[in-house]
Amino acid sequence: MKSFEEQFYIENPTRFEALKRDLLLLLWLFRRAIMWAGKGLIIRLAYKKAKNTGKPLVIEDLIKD
Amino acid sequence: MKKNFPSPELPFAYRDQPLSGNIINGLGETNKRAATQIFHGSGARELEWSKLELFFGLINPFKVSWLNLVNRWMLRDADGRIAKRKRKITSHADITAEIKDLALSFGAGSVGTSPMIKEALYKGGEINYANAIVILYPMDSDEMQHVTTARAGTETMRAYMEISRTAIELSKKIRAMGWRARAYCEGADLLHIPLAINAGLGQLGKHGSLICREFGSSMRIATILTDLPLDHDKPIDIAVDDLCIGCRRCTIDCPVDAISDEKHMVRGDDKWYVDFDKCVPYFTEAVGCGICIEVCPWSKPDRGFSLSEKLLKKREKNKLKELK
Repeated sequence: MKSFEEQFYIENPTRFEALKRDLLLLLWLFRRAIMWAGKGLIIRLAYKKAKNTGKPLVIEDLIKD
Repeated sequence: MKKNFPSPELPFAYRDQPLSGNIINGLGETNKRAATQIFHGSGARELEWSKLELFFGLINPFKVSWLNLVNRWMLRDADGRIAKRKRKITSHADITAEIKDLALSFGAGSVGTSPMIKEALYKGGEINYANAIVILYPMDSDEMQHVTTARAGTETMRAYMEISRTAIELSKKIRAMGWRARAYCEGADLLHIPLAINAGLGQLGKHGSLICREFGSSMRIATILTDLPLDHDKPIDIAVDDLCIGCRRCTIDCPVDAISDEKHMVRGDDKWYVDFDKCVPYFTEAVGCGICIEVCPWSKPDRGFSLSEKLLKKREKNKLKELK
């Protein structure tokens, strides 16, 4: 696994390397935004329900390996 | 200041609790070793508590999540092009003063310098730069009164963005001088607190956060690592321990009793330690919590300098009494 730093911090990048980095970072952000809006919505709804009913959510059931 | 904080009875739980964060952090270990990433990781490895971290990210309010994404986009400029012509440094003192002035003009609330130290590295990390410039950025005290709500969470992310912007601008200036420089802000492979302490910005408080005279604990930290030759600041004694030993504000107000009134042995150092297994699940539930930061007497606006002065005077007085 590469860290955020290893993926997107580039010392002295060429224009091509910088452009490639920007595109990959946009993709990384897009994936995160989609996850927040999609899977996140399901989890937020289940979380709200758990708060109202008092029946705790099980983390492993919500987020699989 | 007992407010209506979320209940410690959490609406979520692990079926099988991951390895205790206190074991990962080295609580009770007498041998020195590097820290291991555990929560808010940089992505360098799959963390034991990564499911809770992802859960935290997904239940965050829209604005907090949005600001986090914008911040990450800004961080692409944390490193970059280095000018071919290297500026000759004739006086370390002059360039250090110039860098500090620049940091303050870019918006930093406070700035200090330190040599890069191994204590700031996670396990497996290497020292790739000679020096560290540590900057602090204050959070808005009015907004932070709303800790455990989306309002304070948004303020925290805003402060992260501001400090990222400041650190990035400073790193760009250094690279324009022809020297290597990389800004480390949120989600970085670096421990900021040991560097901030070494850079004379403050001391570790009972609640496990840095305490400085300017903003107490109500601030964010960022670091610029660089090879630019600099003079180094020295660690300071602002009498944090003198207050923390007797003060119980954070221990009493922490809804899950995660803060201890005594120091603990952690990876070979006797220091203040917060129980990870109690703190982090509640932190997740309470939009990044921050109760201990908010109730800390040092975090009251414009209080730190006079408080430090008073405590240091009291210490001297007690020493004289003992001598008599």
